[in-house]
Amino acid sequence: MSAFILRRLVHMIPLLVGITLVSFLIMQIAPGDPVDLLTERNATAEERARVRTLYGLDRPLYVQYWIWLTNMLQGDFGHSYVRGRPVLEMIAERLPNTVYLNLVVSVLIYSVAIPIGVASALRQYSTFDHTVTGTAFLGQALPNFWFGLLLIYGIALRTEAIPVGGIATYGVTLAEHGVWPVLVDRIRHLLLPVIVMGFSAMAGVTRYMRSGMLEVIRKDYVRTARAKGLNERIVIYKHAMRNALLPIVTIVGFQLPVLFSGSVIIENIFSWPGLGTLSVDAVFMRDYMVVMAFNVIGATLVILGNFIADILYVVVDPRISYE
Amino acid sequence: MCFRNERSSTSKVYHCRHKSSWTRATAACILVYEKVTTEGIIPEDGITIVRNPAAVYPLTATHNGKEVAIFMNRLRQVSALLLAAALLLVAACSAAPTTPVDNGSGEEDEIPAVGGEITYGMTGEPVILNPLLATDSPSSWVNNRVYAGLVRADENLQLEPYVAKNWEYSEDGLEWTFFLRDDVYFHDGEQLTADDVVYTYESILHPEYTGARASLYSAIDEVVAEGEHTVQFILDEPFVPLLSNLTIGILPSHLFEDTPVAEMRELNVNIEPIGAGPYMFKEWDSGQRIILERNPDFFLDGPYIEQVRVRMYGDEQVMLASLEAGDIDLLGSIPPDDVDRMMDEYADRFEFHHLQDNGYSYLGLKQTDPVLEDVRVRQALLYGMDRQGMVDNILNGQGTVMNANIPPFSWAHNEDLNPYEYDPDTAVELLEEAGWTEIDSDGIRRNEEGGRLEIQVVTSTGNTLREDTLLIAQQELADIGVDLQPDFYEWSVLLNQYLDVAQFQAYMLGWSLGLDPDCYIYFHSSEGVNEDGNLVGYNDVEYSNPEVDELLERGRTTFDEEKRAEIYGEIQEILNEELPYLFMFSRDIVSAVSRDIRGMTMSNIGALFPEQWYVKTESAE
Repeated sequence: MSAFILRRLVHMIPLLVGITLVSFLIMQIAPGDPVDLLTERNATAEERARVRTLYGLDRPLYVQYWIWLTNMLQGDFGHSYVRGRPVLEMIAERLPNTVYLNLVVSVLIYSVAIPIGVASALRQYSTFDHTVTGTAFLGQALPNFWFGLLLIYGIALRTEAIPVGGIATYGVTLAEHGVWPVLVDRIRHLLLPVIVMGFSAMAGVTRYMRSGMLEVIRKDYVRTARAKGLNERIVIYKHAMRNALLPIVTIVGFQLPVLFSGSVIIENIFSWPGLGTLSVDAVFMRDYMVVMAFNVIGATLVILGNFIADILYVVVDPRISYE
Repeated sequence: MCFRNERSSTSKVYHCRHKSSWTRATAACILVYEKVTTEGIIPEDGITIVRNPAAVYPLTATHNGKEVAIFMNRLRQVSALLLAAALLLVAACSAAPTTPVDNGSGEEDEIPAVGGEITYGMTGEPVILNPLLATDSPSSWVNNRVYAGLVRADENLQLEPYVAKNWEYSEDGLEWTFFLRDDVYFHDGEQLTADDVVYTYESILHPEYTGARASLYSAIDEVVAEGEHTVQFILDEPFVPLLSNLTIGILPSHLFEDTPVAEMRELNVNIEPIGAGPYMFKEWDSGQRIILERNPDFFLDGPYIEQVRVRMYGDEQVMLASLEAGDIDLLGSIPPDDVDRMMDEYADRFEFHHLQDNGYSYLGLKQTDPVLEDVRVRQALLYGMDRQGMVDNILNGQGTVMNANIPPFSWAHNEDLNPYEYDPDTAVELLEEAGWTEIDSDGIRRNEEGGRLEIQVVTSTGNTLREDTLLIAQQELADIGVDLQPDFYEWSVLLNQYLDVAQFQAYMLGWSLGLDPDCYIYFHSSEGVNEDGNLVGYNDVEYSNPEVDELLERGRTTFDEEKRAEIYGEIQEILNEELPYLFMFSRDIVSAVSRDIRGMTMSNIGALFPEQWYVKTESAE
């Protein structure tokens, strides 16, 4: 097992380098140029050339990539062309907000969607099942921005306790107000974005769990378990559910990059200071250093997520081993 | 309602604020200089203000029976002061008993008190809090509060003293001397001196400057400090519009000078700025808010509001909801579709100001294009579009049709222009005169050579105003047999492949105008494309008319405002006739201001004089 882990880790390195190389090239080859956005429209060729030199954009692509790669490996992701700030600093101040929101949403999704999926599988074609399935599809079908605005106008504007947006009320701090008011304030701000994100993501997990459970429940070993007179609870939770969880584990692995990626729509609607806006703005402004940092982080997380999913398989499924 | 500025040592300055019905149009705020020796003149007493629109000075005041003039525009006021400084005395304040007052807020009885806080809502986040490097409007809003420039605009978009207390021009117009106030301090306690001014302008003119403002100052040859509080600008040639660019915030040189200009962008002081403006930067919570605090040592009266919070939003509708929920107290611009509803529902909480934006949308037409080089085709296009209809439908009536390049509120505006009212018949006549006589089976015109009357318009994505305008224009022009084909590109691609290289048949964009009517870089023939294919100025449509060239040159070197108004009037006439652009319309900006905020002066470039704003206090009720 540890040999497998080591091997996978070693394989990650060329994969990562490959991904960064390809994304670096695609970004540079794509039309649009940061120099056009930084200089005046009527800047002379010399002025443009000077800015180009200043940011090292005049060098051959492979040199630029090499410089970027070696700096990156030393932990230097460069400065934003537009804001002049270190890229890592810009990401670091937004990252906690994004992870915080996504973590709450994920915990909520799994703790609610898994039991619902199981229950609706056990009562297949009942009214409960139809309601759950219907709601799940509705959640997936509703556009986030529309649902979000609906909640803002329907709830936030009518309820004193629910703010229109933001992450916390200005001036409510641990030092001044203590734990409880801060917690309450945070939850008030979380409520609407969590509902919107949870509602749309819940559908998938519920459906996975339901179909996984339906499949397992008809398996011979479940019938055997029942036949040997086991308690129904043990049949369901020990014999059936553990097996039905396998596909969910795959999703958990893929969930890792999602946890660190912001949604522009949710952030815009709920004025949430996350990574989504930052990354999209960077692409539109051709802020290469920022874009590349996001590419590296994204690629790393996807690879790591897959890796974790593979490890989790071993944990939950004794049939799988990587010896 | 006058406040004596205690810090001013040489002259006593009464700073008056008022917004009564008659002063609103002219001056909501009158700076009145009192000669030091004339003691005992109490503005509240014995002063009558007389309004006589026919007189040279439409506002006059008498003090104890003696008549004094109140100068209407501060530019003239300053020059007049230089001439008649010794004679000029006293004057009046706004709280004249004879003044008709009608602004419904009871403002004239209030004394502003220090305190309170306000929250301003903006979409987007400031990019960089350095006036030399920022070009986005969120940054400008913050920079205008944190930094102070030599001069600033008043509500008539005239320039008034700010850090510079006055200035004079040499006879040949090549040496401009600015006398700085000696009581201006940066927020870190350092005094603002001539060296800071020199540093600021030298940085912009520096060959390694990385911002996008250098061309505004290219007329400056040299900036020289003459002692601690005097700065001289040496110009290559007389360049009157320069004054309107001297509004840019002055940087504290002691925090910048150790860093090469090329690396200025990376300094932390751009994120935690130090200026000499009425508000001090306190904190910036990325993506959430910026907090500004009152600068108690500001050199003018005020500021009064303790804390100004800037909240950032990603979505206009959400920002509006925040306004409705009471999270923000003022909003720069309400989306056109929501204006009526907001005004109906919230008239009791907010005051709504409608002001035409200082800018306009247009379709730039390549003057050398085989189809568009014929002026009749260009005129036909304008006759073929119902621009008032567009304003009514797209902007919900919140806009003004433009027929040339200078908006109606400017002193340089020419009213006698061809309005090009929607007239498809005239449009068809003009097209047929121009040889586009055949009509194809698809309804599009052809000329004798078999050319098809199609026009490709490029513009940027994500701007619904432009998208809607072009879609309506496409339909309307199809009726007269013109095939308008809009193409939308991402901003950086649009610049890179079309606009910066001046390769297009037509494009749609908007101009945000400066304070000066000078439009040399847009329409002078030398500002087009050079031999290398690079844009020299912004004359990307390559318009060329020797008469306009000559007028533009004169406009830049003429100091007299009346003469300039004539010059720009003529330019507008020619542009209105020849149409290098299809001038479309400008938006009306509708802002909402909480009724608790007082002392604001509204103008076409937004709410001015932030140091005079105050929050209504309980005791003033």
